[in-house]
Amino acid sequence: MGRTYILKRTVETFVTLFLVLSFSFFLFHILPGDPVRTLVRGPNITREIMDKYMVLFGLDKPLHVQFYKYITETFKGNLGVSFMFTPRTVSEILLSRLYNTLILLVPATIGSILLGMLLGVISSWKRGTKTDLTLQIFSILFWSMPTFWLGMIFIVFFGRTFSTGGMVTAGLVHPDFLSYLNDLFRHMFLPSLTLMLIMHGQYFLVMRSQLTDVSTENFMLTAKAKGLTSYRILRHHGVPNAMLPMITLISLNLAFLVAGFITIETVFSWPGLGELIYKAILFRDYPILQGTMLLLAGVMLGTSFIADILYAYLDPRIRYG
Amino acid sequence: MSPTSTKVIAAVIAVVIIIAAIIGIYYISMPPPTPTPTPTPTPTPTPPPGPATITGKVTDVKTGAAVSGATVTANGYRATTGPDGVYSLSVKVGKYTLTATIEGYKTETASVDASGEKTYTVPVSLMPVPRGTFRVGWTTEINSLNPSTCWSTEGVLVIDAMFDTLYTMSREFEAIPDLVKSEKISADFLTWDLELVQDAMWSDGAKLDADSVIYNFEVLLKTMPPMMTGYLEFIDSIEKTGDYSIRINMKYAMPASLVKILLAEDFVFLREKELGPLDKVELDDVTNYAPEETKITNGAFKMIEWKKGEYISLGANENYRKGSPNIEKLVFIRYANEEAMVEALLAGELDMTYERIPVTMVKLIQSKIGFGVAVQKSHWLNNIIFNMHDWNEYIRPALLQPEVRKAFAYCMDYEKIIDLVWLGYAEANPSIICNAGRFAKYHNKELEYFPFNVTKAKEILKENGWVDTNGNGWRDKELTYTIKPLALDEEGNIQIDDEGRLVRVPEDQWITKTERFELDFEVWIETSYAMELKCFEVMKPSLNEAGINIRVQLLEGSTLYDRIWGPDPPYALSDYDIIGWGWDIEEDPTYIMDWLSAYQIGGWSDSCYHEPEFNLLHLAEKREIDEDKRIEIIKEMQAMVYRDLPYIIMCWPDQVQGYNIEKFEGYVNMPLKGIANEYTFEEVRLIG
Repeated sequence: MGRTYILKRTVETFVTLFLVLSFSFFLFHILPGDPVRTLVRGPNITREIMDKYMVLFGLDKPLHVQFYKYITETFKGNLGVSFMFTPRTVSEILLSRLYNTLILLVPATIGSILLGMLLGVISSWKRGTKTDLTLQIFSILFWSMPTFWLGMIFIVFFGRTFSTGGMVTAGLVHPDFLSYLNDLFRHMFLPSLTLMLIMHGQYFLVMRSQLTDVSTENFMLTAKAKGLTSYRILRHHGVPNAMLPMITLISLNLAFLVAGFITIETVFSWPGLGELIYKAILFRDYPILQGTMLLLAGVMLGTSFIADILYAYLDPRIRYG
Repeated sequence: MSPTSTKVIAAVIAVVIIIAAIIGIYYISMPPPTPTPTPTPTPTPTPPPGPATITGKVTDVKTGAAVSGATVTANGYRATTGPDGVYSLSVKVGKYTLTATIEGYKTETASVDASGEKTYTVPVSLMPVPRGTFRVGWTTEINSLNPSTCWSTEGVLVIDAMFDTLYTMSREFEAIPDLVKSEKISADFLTWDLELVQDAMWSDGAKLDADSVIYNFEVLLKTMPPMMTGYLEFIDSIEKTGDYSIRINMKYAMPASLVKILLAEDFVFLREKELGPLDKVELDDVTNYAPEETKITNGAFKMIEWKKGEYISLGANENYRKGSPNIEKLVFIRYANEEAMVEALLAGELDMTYERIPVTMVKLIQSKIGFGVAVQKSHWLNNIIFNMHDWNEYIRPALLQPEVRKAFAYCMDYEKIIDLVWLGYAEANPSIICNAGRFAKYHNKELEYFPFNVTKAKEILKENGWVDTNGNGWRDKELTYTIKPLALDEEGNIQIDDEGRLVRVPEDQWITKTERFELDFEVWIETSYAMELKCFEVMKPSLNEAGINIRVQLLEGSTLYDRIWGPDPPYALSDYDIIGWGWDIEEDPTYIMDWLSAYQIGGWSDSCYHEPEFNLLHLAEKREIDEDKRIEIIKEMQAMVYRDLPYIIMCWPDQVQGYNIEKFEGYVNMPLKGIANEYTFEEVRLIG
C-alpha cells in the first residue's frame, strides 16, 4: 500500500468532511422553525426579548456571515454555545453525551458482533439442519422487532429487577468504584441487552451467507481432505475469508449506531448522543446539530478510511497504487 | 458430547429446577409474620438521689452541636439536657445502663460503673435518624439553574427550592411575603417600603440583609437579562432605607397583587462576593453565573450535585430560617417520557411524578398497593384556535364569519371529550380563566358552554347562506372579503392607535375580492399534544354532520410556529386555518389576556384576535389598582372572547400526579399546582 495512496485518501477525507459540514449547515438553517421562538416561551416574553435572543444566538446576521463564522471557528476547535443549554459549550455537551453513549454502545456492539458471528458460524456449519433453522428464526425475529418495543417489553418484565431510567441511581453516593460499577451495570443491562439482540441479526446473516459461500471453495475441501477438525477449518480457513464484508458492515454501522440510539436512549432515559440529536432537531439547536454532524461525519469517514487500510492488511491480494 | 452425558446433564437440571420450585412454593405458602402487640410499659417509680453523680454532654455526632431536650435515663433515674446539652443524674452507688433518647436521633446506651461517691463524666454522641431522600421524576431537561437564563418551569421549581424571593405563592396560590416581613405601599402604588426578615442567611453563614437584596436587584436592573425583563421592567429604582429595609420605586402604578406575583419570580441569588462591584458587572457575568458551581444558596435546600441530563440532587439546609426540611435530600430525576417515569414510580425508583401523568395510567397506579394519585384543578386549558387575521393573502374569510365559529361551538360535545379523552380528569369551563384557587374571583361564572346541538349548528349555517351546492357534503358560500394590510412603523412593528385599533394602510390600498369558500379546514396540532388530536376525532362526526370537514394533521412544533408566526415577523405570517393546543395561564389573568390582545400580534398571539375594545380593556386591567374594578374588567373581557370566539375552550385538564404513599407522608396538594410544589418538599417526611 503506497504512501501516495494514504495521502490521497487523507486529503479526500478532509475535503469530504468540509463538503458535509457546509451542506449540513445550510440544510439545518433552511429547516422551518425558529429556535428562539421554540425555546423562549412564557409570559412577559415580548418581541423585543426575542430579538435580544436572536442577537445572542448570532441569528440576526446574514446567512453567509454565519457560515463564515461557523467554518472558521470550527477549524479553531470552537464549536460554539448550545441554544438549548446556553451558556454551556457544544464541545462539553457532546463529549459528556458521547461518553454516555459509548458506555452503552461498546458492550452492546461487541456483544452483537460476537453473538452474530458465533451464531452465523454455527448456522452455516450446520446449514440445512434444525439448528440452522432455529438460529435463523431467532436472529431474524429479533432483527425485525422494533427497538423501542423490545425495550418496553423488557421494562415491563424486568423493570423491578434492573433499573430502567438513567445511568446510575440518582443522588446515590457510591462508597467505592465497585459499587458505582454495580449500579451502572444494573442500569445499562437492559438497554445493552436490547441493542445486542436487535443488532446481532445483521451480523448473523452476513456471516452465515459469507461462510456458506466460502465453504464451497476448493481450499475448504482440501482442508477437510487433510483431516483437519471442524474447528481448525473454520478458524484458520473459513472465518478469515468470510471476514472482509463483516469489516465493511461493522465500520458502516459504527457511525449509524451513534445516532441510531435515539429510540433506545429515549425508552430507557439514557442521556446519550441519540437523545441529544432528537432534542436538538426539535428545538433547532443549530450549534448542537452542526457539532453532531461534525462528529458523525468524522467517525464515518474515519472508520471508512481505517476499513480501507484493514482490507489491504487482511487480504494481501488487494494492493493500492 | 455423547448422548449419555447429555441425558445426565438434563436430569440434573430437571432435579435442580424441581427442588427450587418446592422451596419457592414452601416460602410462598407461609403466612406473613404478624406483628406481636407491644405491651404497655408499667411506669417505674424514680429512686431517691444518691451520693454519686453521672454527668455529661449530649452532642450530635455529625455536627458536634449540643442536643437540647434529650432524655437521659439510668435505671430509673431521669434527666433532660439543657440548651448546652448537659445532663446530670444523682444516683446511688452501683452499675448503670445510661440511655439517651430524643426524636430525630437514634437511641444510644452506655454502661457506667458508679462504684464510688464521686462524679462520673459520660459524654453521649447521638446519630441523627436518616430522614430519607425524596425523589421527583419529570421529563424536562433543565437548561440552567440561573434564574436569568432558565426557561423551564421545572428549572424554576429547583431554583425556588434553593433561593428565596421577596414574595412567594401561598398554598392557596396567592402572593404572600417571604423575605419581606411587612410592607407599606403608598396611596399611588408607586412607592413600596418593605421591611425584611432579619434571620435570613446565605449558605456560607453571611447575612441576607438589605445590602444583599439591593445588590441583587441593582445588578439585574442594570443588566436586564432578557428572560427576567418582564419581571423587572416595572421597577424604576431600589434603595436602602435601613439595615433590613428597602424601598422599591415603581415606574407606573400596577395592581398590588400583580406586582407581588412578579416579585415572586425575582430570586435573590447574586452577591457582590461572587460577581464583583456593581459598576463592573456586565450582562455576561450574570448569565454565566452558575449556582451549581458556587453552591451559594439561601433557601430551604442547598445544591449538592447536578448531573446534567440526568438528575439534580439538593440537600436540606439545616440552618434554614423557617426550619430545616423534614427530608435529608431532594432529588429531581429526568426521564425521557411519561410512561418510563410512571414505571419508575411503580418500581420504587421515584417517590413522586412532577408532571401530569397520562390519564390512561391512573388506574394502573391506583391498582398498586402503596401508590396514590393526586388530582387537582389546573391552570392549563385546551382550546380550538381560529385564524382571525385579515391583513395578508393568508386571510381565511370563512373563519372570519361568526356563524362558522358558532357552528363549531355547537358541534363540540365537551362532556364526551372530558369522559372519552380525559377519562373524567378535566374540568368543564368555557371561559379563558380557570375557576380554581385565586383565579376563581376573576372567573366569569355567567358563561356557559354552547349546548351540544348539531341541528342548531346546521340552522345557523343555513340561515347565513351556507349550503352544499356541489353535493360533496361540505357547505359552501360565496364571500366578499377585504384584505386590509397593516401599516408598520419604521422598525417594522405593528401599530395600535389610541382607540385600540390596528393601524392599516390607506383604504385605497385595501384589496376586496369575491370567492366561493367551502367549510373544509385543516386543523394543525403540535406533535406533543396527542390528547388534542383525540378531542378533534371526537368532534369530527358532529362537524361532518353539520356540513363542515376538518382534516387533522400533527405538525412538529417548530414547523407549526413558523406557519403561525412566520420566519419574518413582526406582523405574523398566519398561514393556518385552525390550531388545537393548550395554554398555561400562569399566575395572573393578565397573561392570557395579553396573548389574546393585538399587542401580541407578531409575538405570542396565535389567533390574531384584534378587537379594539378588548385591547383597551387589557391596558386598563393591567393598570387598575382597585381589585374589584379589575375583576369586573377581566370578566367583561372573558364575555367578549366568549362572544367573538377566537378560542373555543374544550376543557381544563386536571393536574394528575402519581406518588408513593407507603414511604412518605405530608404531601401538600396546592390548588392549580398539585403536590409538586415547594411546600411538599419542605414538609414531606418518612413514615415512621
